[in-house]
Amino acid sequence: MKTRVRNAILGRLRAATATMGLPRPAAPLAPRRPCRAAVDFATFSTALTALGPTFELAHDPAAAQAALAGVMARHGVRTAVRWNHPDLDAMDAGAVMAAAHVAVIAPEELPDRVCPSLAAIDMGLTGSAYALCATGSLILAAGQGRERGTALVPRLHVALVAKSRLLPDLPALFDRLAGHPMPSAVNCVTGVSSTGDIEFVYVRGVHGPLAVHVIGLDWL
Amino acid sequence: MSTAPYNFAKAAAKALADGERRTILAKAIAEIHVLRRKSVDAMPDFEARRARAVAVREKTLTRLPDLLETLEAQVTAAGGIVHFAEDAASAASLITQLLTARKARLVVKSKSMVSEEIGLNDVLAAAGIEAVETDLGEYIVQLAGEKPSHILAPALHVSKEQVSELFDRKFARKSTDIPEMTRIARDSLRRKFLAADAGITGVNIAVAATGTVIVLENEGNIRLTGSCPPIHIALMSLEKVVETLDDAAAVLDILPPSATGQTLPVHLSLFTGARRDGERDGPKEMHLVILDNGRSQLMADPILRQILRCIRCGACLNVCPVYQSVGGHAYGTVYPGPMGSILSSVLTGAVGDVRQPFACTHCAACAAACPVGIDHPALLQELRRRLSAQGTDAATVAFASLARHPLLFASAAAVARTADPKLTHVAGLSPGSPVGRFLRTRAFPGFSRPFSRRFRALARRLSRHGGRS
Repeated sequence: MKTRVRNAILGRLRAATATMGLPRPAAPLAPRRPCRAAVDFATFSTALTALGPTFELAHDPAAAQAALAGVMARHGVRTAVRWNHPDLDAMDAGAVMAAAHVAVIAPEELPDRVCPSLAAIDMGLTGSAYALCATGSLILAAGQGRERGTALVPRLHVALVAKSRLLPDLPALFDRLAGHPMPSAVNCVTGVSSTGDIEFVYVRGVHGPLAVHVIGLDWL
Repeated sequence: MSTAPYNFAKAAAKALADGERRTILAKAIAEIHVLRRKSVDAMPDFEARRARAVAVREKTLTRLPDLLETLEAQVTAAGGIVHFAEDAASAASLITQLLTARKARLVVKSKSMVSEEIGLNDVLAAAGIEAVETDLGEYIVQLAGEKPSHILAPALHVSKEQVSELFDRKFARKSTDIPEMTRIARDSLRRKFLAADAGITGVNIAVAATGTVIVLENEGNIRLTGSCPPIHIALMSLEKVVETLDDAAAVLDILPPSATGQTLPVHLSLFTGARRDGERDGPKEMHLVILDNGRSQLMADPILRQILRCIRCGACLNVCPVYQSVGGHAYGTVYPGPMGSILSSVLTGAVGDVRQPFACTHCAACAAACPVGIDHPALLQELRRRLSAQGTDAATVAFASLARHPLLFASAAAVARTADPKLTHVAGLSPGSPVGRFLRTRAFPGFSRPFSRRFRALARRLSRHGGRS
């Protein structure tokens, strides 16, 4: 039954497209305009902070630790969940959270249903696969030790972005992704969630984290 | 079941008489219209982007069966399960069976026009499954027991006072403050996200080469729907596929600017299959349902198949003077506006008025706004031609033969100009005649000034509003 429906649909499409031939564009297509945004933290943070998130640039691990301690204090963080990610280790994020007496859930301690277990957690701390300078986007790729819920359910999302992970724009990201097997989820997050569904009045903070803070790791 | 054909003229007249709703509609459309214009005007290379998007969508259509096979293989390789559905009813029952077999009781849904097309919520409710819409606009519409009136902004027609009244009734929480009302919806929906047995999303673009489903949103509800519940069902119509990530980038170059005026939405999610070994969240099961519902037959139509380029940005709705005046509900179809008038007429079992194409004013603002180069007026003209070929009344035949002969037409108009410039005498003789009906449903300018003299001023006004003559 299932294959019959599939074959019938594909058969009709084949019959319809057999005579079409490849379309020839009327004029030669202009290649994509290369991204003119500079690939640096200044460009990235300008785009990012225009959309709601906050940004701090750390030039060395000590500065990154101070930035993390500061954002946890500002948001009254008592509980956190984190990714297993080399950029977290590079600034010894675990030690900062321990020193601030924050109770931290490691990925391997998460229960079978991750999202409900994170509902009352204050902060999700993640790295990022890439970041896009033109749009201020964070690229989060799911994987073992990099749960989707960490950046999604707690009220505060803190993301670390290493300098070497900066890319110009979305097409550059897609070029990178095309070369490898796709992760089960890649989230391109540009700003803080928002809506305009009631009378087109712009409201920030709908679902997901109500605040996003990004720490740039300038030495990595 | 009612068999009376849907009457757009009546529904439109009713919508036009609703002053309050027209005010809300006009305000909302003006906002979204400006957002798109600003964004598109700020792009010096918009025309080049449009040309690439057209090329990608056209290439996709010529290779549709191959791309769907590749998509199926790649989704399967990533641990997903692909289902093909012939029509609306079979798609809805397929999804319902999937959910009942897994004892799912609570389902969170993100906005999907294909889900509206297959009437999924009613079928799920009949099976005892609670389906909660999680897009704020769609949630409002669902709570109010209504249907979406815009493919992007479903609650475009609802005022904040109406939302406030609705939330007070449903949640016993009083507020007319829009951020506060958004918070009320967040609280209520968060419980649903965390408890849901399954999540159902639509698909903006499916990438064949990688088996990836791409969805765009601002609220974060799709990200939650596709990430938290143990089952993710993605629902797409078969033309949403493209070949590669590069092709997807060409579509993404023009979709958010044309839809909401953004460069990128807040959340752009790429879901590829189910969770992998060692991952502790993400859906354990991922299903991709691919709907035909008349589209494969439409592909055999060399003229009308152009509508399958559509990427559902909603730009054609926002610029359409008919849509702006009557709103989405008057169409009586799932897809309203210019793209809806074409698509609904060719989908299997679509409701609505078969004479809908005749409501078009041919101003062509839709074609000018369309980021994938669909010539809506030409397609609507073709639909009109086909409907007329099925038979038309004597007065129209007479008018058509007059209109074909300029000299004859000019002299007939000259006679009318002196004898009966508003055609009131002709209509008065028999109000039920085609001329009588014409005068009742149109604002007829009369013959007192020849059209050739009014044309220049009309054309100038039209081009000021984005149309063409």
